[in-house]
Parts: sequence; structure tokens; C-alpha cells
Amino acid sequence: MTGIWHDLLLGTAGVIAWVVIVFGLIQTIVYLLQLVIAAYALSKRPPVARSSLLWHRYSDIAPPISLIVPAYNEQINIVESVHSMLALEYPAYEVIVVNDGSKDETLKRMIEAFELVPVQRSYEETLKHEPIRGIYASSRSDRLFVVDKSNGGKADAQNAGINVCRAPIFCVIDGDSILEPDALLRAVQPFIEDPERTIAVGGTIRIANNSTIESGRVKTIRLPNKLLPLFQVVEYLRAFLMARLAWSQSTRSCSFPERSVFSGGGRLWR
Amino acid sequence: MTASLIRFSEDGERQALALVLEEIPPAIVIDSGFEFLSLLRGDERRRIEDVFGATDLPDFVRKRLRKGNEAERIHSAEILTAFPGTSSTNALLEALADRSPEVRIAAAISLNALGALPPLQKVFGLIGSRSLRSRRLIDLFESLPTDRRSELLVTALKQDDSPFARAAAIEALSRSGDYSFVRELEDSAHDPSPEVAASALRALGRSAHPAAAETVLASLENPDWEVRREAAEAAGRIGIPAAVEPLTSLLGDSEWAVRYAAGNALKEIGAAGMEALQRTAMEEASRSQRTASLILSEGLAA
Repeated sequence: MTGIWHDLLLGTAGVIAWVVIVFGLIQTIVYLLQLVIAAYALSKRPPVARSSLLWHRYSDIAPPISLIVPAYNEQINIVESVHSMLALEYPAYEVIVVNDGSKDETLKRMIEAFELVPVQRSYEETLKHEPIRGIYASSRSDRLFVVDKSNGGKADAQNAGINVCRAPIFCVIDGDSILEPDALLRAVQPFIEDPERTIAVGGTIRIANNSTIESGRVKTIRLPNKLLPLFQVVEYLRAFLMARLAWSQSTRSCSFPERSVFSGGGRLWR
Repeated sequence: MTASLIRFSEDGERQALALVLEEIPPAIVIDSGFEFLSLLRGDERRRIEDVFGATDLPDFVRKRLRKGNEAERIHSAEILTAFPGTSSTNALLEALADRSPEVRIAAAISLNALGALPPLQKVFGLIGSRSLRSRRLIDLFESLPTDRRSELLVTALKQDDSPFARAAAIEALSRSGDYSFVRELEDSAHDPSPEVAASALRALGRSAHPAAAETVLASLENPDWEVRREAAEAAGRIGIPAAVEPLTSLLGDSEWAVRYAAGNALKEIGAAGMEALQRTAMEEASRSQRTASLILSEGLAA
């Protein structure tokens, strides 16, 4: 009897080992392929023009963008993040912060910092989300709107932001993220150069732990001191510089339904 | 580099600036020099361009237009407008056949700035269909001189041109503020391409010309929602009293953008429109009622 169990266990362990080895090999091969494809895509990509040139070139024809910022318990950095978003170099954009039922003082701090007042703004509930409790506009900036809603999670907050926004292009970004000043101007390029065929573009997200940030801008870039964030840096480089570029290159001819909605942050969608 | 340019703009010493430029690699002069130039206008700008033009820079830029990477070629095409003349024009004409669509369109824009753009239909043939999808086409069309607007009209009305190019031509015509094109644009509002029809209706709305009322009213029933939305906005801008009834019907349209445009148009039309909105808002709960109610409540919360 013991012999049968022994054989069964050995057999099962063998199968699991083979599954792990085979899937590990497949994953490594996929990553290697992605690396090659991403390298090819990068070599074909033209060098990025300076932001002053992009402004000169595109400012008159750049389409409006809604920046949607889901925020949950972000009282520590929400005001600074919003300040940096309001200082972006882009001719026509609005910032819609969605307070997703925060339990801390996220909303209160924004009301005080940006002199928010309640407004009525028409919108259609095309995408389902938890009820909106109120919409606020800032007396200090025409660009800023804050949507206060019951908690429903990040995707739910994104849906509310998408319903309320009015620009033809939207970008979802986390409340604790920082955008380069000319990020929108760079990201919108494909929408200008080939508006009919472009439905979405992505940016590269980096870890800013240990970097120096002043007035919502990264002043000095440094690597994190701790081991786990260091792994995260490598993983982000793999995910954003390798995997996305490779998939983008491989699926260039894919088409999506007109009203496709994708999850995720740091990207522009039409 | 920038310090020398600032000094030159104060003292006008050409020789001193020329000596500095000789010491600096041309690629740096192009990058930082033209960034500085983009801040200047008029005589001050022209004086610095003259000094740049007297060096080897124009030849360097023309060479880079042929042999640089894509970003350099686009930038070279843009800054060649600072060095007018046959050599620059020829280099830009050659760039109309560049392998990159963005370089081709940049070359066309610069040729237009130099007053050397070939006839539009010829340019379309040279820059190809890919460039005809870029929004920079709008830049090109809008900067065309007044005496070439008839070419835009030909493009707008030419059925076999790309809908994007035709819509861009209509957009440029409407921004020119010239009312003589209103009649022609009315025909475009019935175009089978929704993109062209929507652009024509936007143009008619921008003109606010009452002669367009009939066309706008007919387009409120167009099967394409973007055309209906533009027609609704145009009806509001022109202020067509006869549009109150069809706009009230559009408050129940299947597309939110159309309902929203119809509601705002009713507001713009004035007393009759506001009355229709208020009446609809008081009716039984329906899509139209909700739209009217939302439109009326928009603004500062009570």
C-alpha cells in the first residue's frame, strides 16, 4: 500500500515538475521573443522631439483630453498630485478627480486647497458605477472637476470619470502618480498623426521611490534603497518597455469595436 | 549660445555673433538657436535669421532634411522656412516624396509658408493617402493664403478625395470667415460621408448664416448620430426657431451626445427653446424628460 502511495506521489511530483519546467521554458521563450520584437520596434521609433517643438507643432490641433484620477484615501499626496496635473503643458485638457468614497480627508483637503464648489454637470450613465454623491468645480481653475461617489473600487471610479468627462480622449492615472510636464503632448502624437486608426496609446511608468520630487515634478532620479522596490523597477521595465512594445508591434493590425473600454492607467484612450 | 543671441538682440553686432556661431557645432545651433528664435517675432527674428543664413547652416539643414532621422528631417523641414530661396524650396519639394508621411506633411506646410506650395491636388498626389489622414493637414489648409481658398473648395467638394482631407478643407474654409462658401457647403452637408457632412454642418453653424437653416433642419434627421449632433449644435448657433420642435424630439435620441447638443441648442435659441425645455422637464419620466431636466439644472448647484 505504501509502495502505491509512494509511486503515486513520485508520479504526481514528476508531472508537476514537468509542468513547471515546460511552462517556465515557454515563458522564457515568450520573454525572449518579446525582447527581440521590442528591440526592433524601438529601433524603428524616431527619437522624441523636444517639448517646445511639440508645442509649436501640435498646440493648435491637439484634441482635448480628460485626465481621470481615481483617488481612494489619498489625503497625503492628492493636493500635490492635482497641482502637478494642473501644470501640465497641454493646450486643452480637464482634470477629473474621482473620490471613490475615501474614508480619510481626501475630499476635504481638495475642497480647501482648490476652493471647490458643488455644481451640476450633465452626464450619461453609459458605464455602470456606484452612485455619484456630488460633482465639484474649482473656483481657482476651470480645468478641475471633482466627482465624489460611493466606494466601488478603482475600475468603478474610472467608469464614473469616463461618464462625466467630455473630451474625445481620456487618460486614466493614479492619484499618487506624477506625469512628466509634456507627457500628454507626447502621448497624443499618434492621435494627431493618424486619428482614424489610433484608438489607444500607452506610456512608460517608472517607480519614483527614493527620487526627489518637488512641486509635483521629479527633480532627481534615484533607484529605491530596498530590495522589493528594486525588483519592481525591473518588472516595470519588463512590462512597459518590453512586453507592451512587443504586443503593440505584434497586434498592429488588430481591430477593436468602437466602444471598447480597457482597464489600466497611464494610457490615452479614444 | 543663447547668451550670444540675447547679446546680439541687444547690440546687433553681426560679426560677433557670426564668430560665436563658427565655434559651435551646427546641430547645436539648430537645436538651441531655433528654440530661441521661436520666442521672437518681426525684425528681431529676421535679423538673427539673416546671420544664420550667412553661415553654412542652411546647407547643413538641407542635408539633414535628406539624411537625418525622422525627427531631424521633420525639424529641418520646419526650420528651412528661415532660409527662403530656390535651394530650400527645391529641398522641400524633394521632401514631399520622403518615406515618412510626417516629413512629407511638414515639407508641405513649410512650402506653403514660403509661398511655393504646388497646387493642392498635385500635393495630395505627392504626399500620399497616409499623410492625408494627419490632423496637421488642418494646419496646412488653414495657413493657405486667401487667394488659394478656391483650391480648398475644390478639395471639399471632390467626391473621390479622402473624407478626412475633405472635412479638413471644410473646417479651414469655415475658419476663414468668408461667407461666400456657405452655399457650396450646404451641398456638403448632404454628403454620403458622415465625416464630411458633420464637418459641413459645423462650418454652417460657425457661419451662423440664416440661409443654412433649411439644410440644418433636414440634417437633424440624419441616420448618423455625429451628423445629428453637429446639426443640433448648428441649429443652436444659427438660432433657428423652426428647429425647436425637432430639437425637442432629439432630447430622446438614442445617443447621449445628440441629446446633450439638442438640449444646449434649445437653450441657445432663446425663449421658445427654453419653454420647450421646461415643458419637457415637467413631463412624465422619460429619456427626454431626464435630458431636459439635466440641461436645465446644469451650472452651480443650488
